[in-house]
Amino acid sequence: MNELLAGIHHISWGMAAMMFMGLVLIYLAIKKDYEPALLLPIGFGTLLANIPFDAIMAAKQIAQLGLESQAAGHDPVTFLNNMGIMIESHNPLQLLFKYGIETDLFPLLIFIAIGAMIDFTILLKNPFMLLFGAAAQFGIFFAILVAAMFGFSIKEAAAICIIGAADGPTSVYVAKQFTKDLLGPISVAAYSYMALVPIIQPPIIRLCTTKAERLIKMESYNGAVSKKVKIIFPLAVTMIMGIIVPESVWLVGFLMFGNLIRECGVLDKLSKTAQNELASLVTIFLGITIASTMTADKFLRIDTLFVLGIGLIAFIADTAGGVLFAKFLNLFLKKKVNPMIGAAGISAFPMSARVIQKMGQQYDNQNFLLMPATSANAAGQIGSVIAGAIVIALLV
Amino acid sequence: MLDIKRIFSTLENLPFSWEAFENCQKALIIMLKGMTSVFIFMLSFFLIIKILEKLFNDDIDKEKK
Repeated sequence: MNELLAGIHHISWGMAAMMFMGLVLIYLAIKKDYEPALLLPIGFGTLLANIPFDAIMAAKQIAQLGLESQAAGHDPVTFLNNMGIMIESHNPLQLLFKYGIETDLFPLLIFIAIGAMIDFTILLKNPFMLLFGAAAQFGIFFAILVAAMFGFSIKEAAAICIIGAADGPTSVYVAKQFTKDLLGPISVAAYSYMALVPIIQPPIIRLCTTKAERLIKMESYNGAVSKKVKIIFPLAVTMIMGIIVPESVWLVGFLMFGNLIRECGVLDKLSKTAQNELASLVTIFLGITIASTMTADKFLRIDTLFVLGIGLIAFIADTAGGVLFAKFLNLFLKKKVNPMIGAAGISAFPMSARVIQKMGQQYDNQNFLLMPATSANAAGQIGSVIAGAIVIALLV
Repeated sequence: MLDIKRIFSTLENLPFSWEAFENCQKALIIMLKGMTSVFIFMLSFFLIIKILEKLFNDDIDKEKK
């Protein structure tokens, strides 16, 4: 009977709290529709990661080695670790983490899928919007400063700040280069805040703009883009970034490879596979694997609260950075831009563009900002990857 | 009257250390370098798109045909 109840004996309050958190994430994914593709696997993985599988295996191993008397009163996993004995357990989540995250495989595969999903045509029609894709990365770099002020080391600060990229795979890829312990909270913060863009951005935009500015109308750009331009663009971006910042080559290269598959026109089947099957498969694995870091000892720490707080600051600073930069440009431009467009320079695509369109319509139902906002949003996708690559280049 | 000793002991107990201050300096430099680099890259992409536009603008009609 004791053997059957071994699982219950090894559950700590921390594990129970984490299991509850897993259930909350699953609830948010299903009931509130917050990034369900990621939060549901992360939630379920959190449940799995906090079932005391390793502790039970360690206890059995202790019994086999006849070390029960010495191990009495100690956590079995810690006891074996202290004795320098390897725990003979085959935890599939740890295996997925080792081969999928530590090798960067899952985030990079996701980049191919994202690249295949992004249509840069709208940005190529209006490349001026690239500037907003740069300005709205301010939050990433500002958050490094904030995290450093709170006593995090520069590398930890760099891992936390990347939440401001508003881009899940970039956050996972960059954070993993600097810290594994904070990967769980960073991923959860990144995906949760992305889902909360419609709640986070509007008050910041209102705070940074006047009503007159929010009423500014913008032109739509209806011109066509040559297929050659669409093909050369991903190649040029990869070459320039790869040669100047070699650390960025995988991050940018895989994204642009996906985009090239989409735009080349001769790989429709591969493009559709990357957009659908590849994206879905890797998303499932990425979510559940990230959850393997969501264990009580790594998550239930004061640092997690700092990560969530600094992540939110990064999102707010991104939005404010984009809006204020647009206001700054308006000082020199003859044709003024609606400063709300600046907020769409983050990577949360297409959510941020929709938020701007909705806000524009709230103040004037004849103001259609979707086109320019989508251009800025597409620029934000490039900007976030570039910012992530630069963070790696500056610190690794 | 100011209780200097108390002020200093409070300052010592704050979570900010010299190391944290040094980190902030580093973070500030990274912030400046990072934002400048992002802008430079985005501007270079802007220029590339403009050049490509000029080079291949005539092809749009051909592609439509």
